Amino acid sequence: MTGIINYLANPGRFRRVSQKIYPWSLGSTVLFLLLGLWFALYNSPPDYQQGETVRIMYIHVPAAWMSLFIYSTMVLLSIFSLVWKHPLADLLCKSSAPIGASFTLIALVTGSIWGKPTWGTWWVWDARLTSVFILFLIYMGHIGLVRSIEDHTKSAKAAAILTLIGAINIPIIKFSVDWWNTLHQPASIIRVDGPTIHSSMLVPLILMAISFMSFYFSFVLLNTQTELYKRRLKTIFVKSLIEGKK
Amino acid sequence: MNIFLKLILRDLKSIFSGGSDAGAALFFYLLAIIMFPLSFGSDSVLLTKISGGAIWMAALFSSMLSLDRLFRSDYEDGSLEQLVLSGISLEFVVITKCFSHWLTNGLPLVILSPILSIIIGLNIEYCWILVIALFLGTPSLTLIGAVPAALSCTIGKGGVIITMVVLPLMLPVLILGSGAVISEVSGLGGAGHLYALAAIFPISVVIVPFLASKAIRLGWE
Amino acid sequence: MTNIPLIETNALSFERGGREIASNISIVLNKGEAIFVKGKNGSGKTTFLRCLAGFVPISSGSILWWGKETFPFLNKQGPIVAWLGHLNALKSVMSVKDNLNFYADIWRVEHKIVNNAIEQLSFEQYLDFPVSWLSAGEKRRLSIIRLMFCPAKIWLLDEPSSFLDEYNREQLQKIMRNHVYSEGSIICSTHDDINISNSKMLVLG
Repeated sequence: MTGIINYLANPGRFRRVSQKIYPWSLGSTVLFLLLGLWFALYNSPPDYQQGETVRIMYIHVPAAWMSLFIYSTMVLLSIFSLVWKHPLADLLCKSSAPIGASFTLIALVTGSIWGKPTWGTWWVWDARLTSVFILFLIYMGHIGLVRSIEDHTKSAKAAAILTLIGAINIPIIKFSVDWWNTLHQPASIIRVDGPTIHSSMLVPLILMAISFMSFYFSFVLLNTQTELYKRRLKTIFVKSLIEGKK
Repeated sequence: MNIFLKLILRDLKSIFSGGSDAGAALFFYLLAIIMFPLSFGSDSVLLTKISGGAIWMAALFSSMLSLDRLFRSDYEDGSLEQLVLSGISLEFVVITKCFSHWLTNGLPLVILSPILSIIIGLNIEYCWILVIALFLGTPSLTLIGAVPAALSCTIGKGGVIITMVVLPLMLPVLILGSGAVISEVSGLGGAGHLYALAAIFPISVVIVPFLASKAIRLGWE
Repeated sequence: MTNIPLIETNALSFERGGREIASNISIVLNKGEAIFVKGKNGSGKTTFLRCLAGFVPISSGSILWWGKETFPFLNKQGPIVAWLGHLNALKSVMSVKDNLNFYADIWRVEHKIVNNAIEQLSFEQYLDFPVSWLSAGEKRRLSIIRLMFCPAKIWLLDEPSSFLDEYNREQLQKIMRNHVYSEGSIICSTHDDINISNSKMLVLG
């Protein structure tokens, strides 16, 4: 494991490897999206209480999973960057933030759309909704701060530092549904006894989750490659200015 | 311990010699609280309900405003560099700076809160839980804000960006802190909130010095 | 017992703003020696000194202090390395006296030595002034006073004579000479020509 991590620490190698992986992960995204949507919209039963509106769950839940998963990944990457000084970890962290923010926004919006017919309200300030909204704000603040630093190397490191200070929010979100059991449905999939949801609904959820995961994978690689190109461009540009003067 | 006291005294001297805006932040606290009865009308039933939250909101804003000065002065004149080369670890300096910030910002908020809460209509019997909640929460506000404050030294400008970053990070403290008062007033008991609030402090004390000193060193690069 | 050099750098390279500005710098500093760092603006003199002081990470090579890679902050007498960079590290709201006493306190320097330094640079009249009243040159002289009573034997100086007039530049040279002759060592970046025997030169860029 550490071998792979060290192997990919070289930017050139990372570029080559990620360029090979990228078409596959993009393909996986589309494939699982189509499969997942087929199961979600067609081949799965409507909920006996909610009817067809339950199908929004197949976007909402995986998006919510991703919003938390991505931030947790960012925390791990930050630790890799700050403690073990891995050269690319902070870049990956910086590149993950916009994707995480997007999934959080999708989760919030689809949740709101789902909530209106189901609970009669667009929004309520219970523990889970509030925590996810705060997570969205943390993502946005993160993106804002990182963008305001002009130096690319410094902004990546700042991204790592800022991620860790927001990390306290993650346990609060995960356990908030258990601590304050209010309007939002308590956890039914990631539980100690195993999922309580029926397999016909579980399958499309998992498929959509795989699709979203591949999406994240593809785009974090793409963003990181772009960052690396930007850095190289700056180095080349500066060199050419200096050569030009000579 | 000696060095700790010397550093605190130096910060306090600096603050009280008029080099910073400590007084302004406290004055803002006052103003912000008074804005509540002015904006929501003098309906005393309503004010009683929102007073706990109003005080917490004012505490948050006051804290946020004064965070910029936490490291900026010593960073910009090179004092942090001298302290580090004198053998004082940057993490230790971060802790002392947070402590002096709390002494001049958080602690006055705690002390003023009973008087101010009565002004905006919180019943006297609930003042105690407000004071305890603020006492437990304001150190965490300073600590959590210290990391973006240190990062702002890298950026140079600070200002609105830091506010944008800091506010979401402080929201859990706000929710737990005002939740404690609200729960107590509604009879559910605020002890759980206070425990959760108290738990944030040791976590922050452990991770903030490490992160803030990384941020300052990032600025030095 | 071989004479281990105080500071030794081996094939040192460092970056500024993400690009490498100097590479393969190897110097050796012994007791009672001075090294003057020269070079055009932008050649990396300040960054080099900041690397030595530990504020900027190096991109390759090594810096050895008494043969070891760990930076020596303190010993029983106090700090081992004294730094005078572009910034003077003076609190402008506090008085000259308070500024100096703070460092004298944390470095545990006797008042005698502090007063001696103040007298040498004729600063007695300014003791009660707030630092904000001083001119740039006077602030620089104040940081030099602090440098003088610092117990550190190794001085890292970055353009110490900036803002100083002719007379004070000579004073500074005398102070540096005295330091080197009493077994101290200096690495100093400067545009001036400083006359100290037992000195080497490093040109960057």
